[in-house]
Amino acid sequence: MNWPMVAFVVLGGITVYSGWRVATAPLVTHAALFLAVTFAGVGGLFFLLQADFLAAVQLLLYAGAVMTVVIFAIMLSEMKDIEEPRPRGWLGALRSPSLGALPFIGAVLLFAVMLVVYLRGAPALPVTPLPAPTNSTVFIAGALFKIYALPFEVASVLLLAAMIGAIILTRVEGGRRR
Amino acid sequence: MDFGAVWPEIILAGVGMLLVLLDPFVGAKRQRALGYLAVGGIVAAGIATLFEPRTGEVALAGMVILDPLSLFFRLLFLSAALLVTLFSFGFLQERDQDVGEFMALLCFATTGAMVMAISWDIISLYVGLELLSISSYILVAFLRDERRSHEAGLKYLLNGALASALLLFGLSLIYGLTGTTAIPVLGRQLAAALGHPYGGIVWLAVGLVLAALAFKIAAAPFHLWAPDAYEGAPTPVTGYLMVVAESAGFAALIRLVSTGMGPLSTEWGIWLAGLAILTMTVGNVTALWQQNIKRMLAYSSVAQVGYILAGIAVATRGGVGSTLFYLIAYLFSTLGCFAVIIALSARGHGEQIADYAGLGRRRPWLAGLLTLFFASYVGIPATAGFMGKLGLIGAAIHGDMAWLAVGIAVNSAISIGYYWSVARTMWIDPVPEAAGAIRASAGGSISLVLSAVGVVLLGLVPQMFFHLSQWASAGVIR
Repeated sequence: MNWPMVAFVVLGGITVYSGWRVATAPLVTHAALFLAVTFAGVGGLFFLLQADFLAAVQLLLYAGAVMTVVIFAIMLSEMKDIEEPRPRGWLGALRSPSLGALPFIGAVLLFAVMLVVYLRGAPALPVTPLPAPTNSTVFIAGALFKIYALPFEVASVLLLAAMIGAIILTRVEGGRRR
Repeated sequence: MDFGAVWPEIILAGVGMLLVLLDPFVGAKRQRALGYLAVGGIVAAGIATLFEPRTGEVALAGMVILDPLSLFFRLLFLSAALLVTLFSFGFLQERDQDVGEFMALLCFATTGAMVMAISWDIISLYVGLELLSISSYILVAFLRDERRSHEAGLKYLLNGALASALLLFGLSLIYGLTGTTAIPVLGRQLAAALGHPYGGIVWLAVGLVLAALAFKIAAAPFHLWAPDAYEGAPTPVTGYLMVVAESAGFAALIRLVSTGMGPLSTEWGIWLAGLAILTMTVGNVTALWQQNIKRMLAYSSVAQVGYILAGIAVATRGGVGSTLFYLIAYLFSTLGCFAVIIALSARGHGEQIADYAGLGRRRPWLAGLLTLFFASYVGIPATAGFMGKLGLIGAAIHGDMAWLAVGIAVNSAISIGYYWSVARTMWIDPVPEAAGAIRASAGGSISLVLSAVGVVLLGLVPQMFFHLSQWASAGVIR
């Protein structure tokens, strides 16, 4: 048991547990906070993989910006906390998000798969992995603006469409023109 | 970086942005001008498409390929977008909706579909798919005064997001197994990865990708969102989704599965064939009970998706060719049906099948054309659908899947039931007392006539289109 291994198990465990709690927390605000923990955990996993740029982006954008927007959305929509109906019968109890066994089993299975792949993965990958770039920021910039320039541009159109859509759908005047 | 390979997409997205930009400065009276601008943009993109190379050259660092299939799908999507634009004018103005925003989203969605079809890399394919999907979610929820439009948009969003997640999960597994995102190399690498201790993950990845694309094309048992979303969406959008979004799903299937996963075709061929039979049967049998015409057409489109899947399941060049031919036939039949429904809904005509009573006597032309499009759906000789089904049945028999051919034939017979019940209501039932006047808009009439001409041309002189679709499918199976 070496240190990266311990770090992986701890971070993976935190990520999986908080991911499960996102789905099962009875309060929306709690779910949002657990989501922040999940994002941070994934950022930590990126660090372990020596993808420092991705880790920084994950922390800044997801744990930072995206979480802020999520909390804003909860505040602005005055969302009432989700009232979960009492589960009925043994099938209901099995499926119920916070009490049931199925979501828990799913989370444990996912964790087990991750662990097995990690334990057995290193020597037997089907393809030889790319040589780790010494400066991943430069590497990613090259990939983004040279190789993947088209998807990058299309993504900007996508964001524009999503923004216009958000404005159209939330405009208050109610569909009539001026 | 030379973006010359994607001129049609640049033009279309540019016109979309221009529409949003001009929209605030154009008064409510002149909204039609924005529609004409969208029509002009679509036509310009079509002309640009004709000037693009079609020799199979790979451009933009391996992101896109300009082969006959790219040309085919670009023109297919642009034709569908043109017909939808034409019959949207009247519909939007009738309901006092914003034409500019609607047309802009339509342009963005079509751009996404075109990017999907020309993709030669899973990243550009996925981004194109998301552009199409997100624009479509907004279009479905566009009628903000109507509760069911909102509900439909939300259902489409949730199901679409799930499908996107499945697709991403599958694609990331594929990248992990092969170390590449380039479609032409995927298949060989995946086949090589099969012999590996983790070989089983290959089937997990392929299964996830197939399930996600089955969601997108609304194939059973992943079709449950479709009837609600299609019924609640604004009627022109329903037609658009059935034709463009589903054809784009098929473009992704052909690129990613037929070409990308070609070496594994003996396995996924059987899976897709089972999916095809299930889809056509579920679609046709459920359609028999529908009372709302949009809902009935939604189930009928599920059934059509089943037929089209058969062409991909056989994994031969002829199969893909007949799939492409059927997609043209499906475009004209579907958009024709929706042009009629929109013309009827203009004066508050209901969407229930019972509301069509006596239409044959009130508007014989509209009723006659709707009957023609239904005949094409069933596959009556001398219509587009007949030649299309003939091609698919032939491909199934040549591909050693005769049971699939039997499935198509049996299902076509079942489908007569619900098409006939509408036809009987139109031609035989008496005219109701309170029937109002019906008047089709100019744009609607144009797209109606174009669709009818398309259906008849494909049925009577199919040779040209057969050659086109065979030519377009040339490089698919490697």
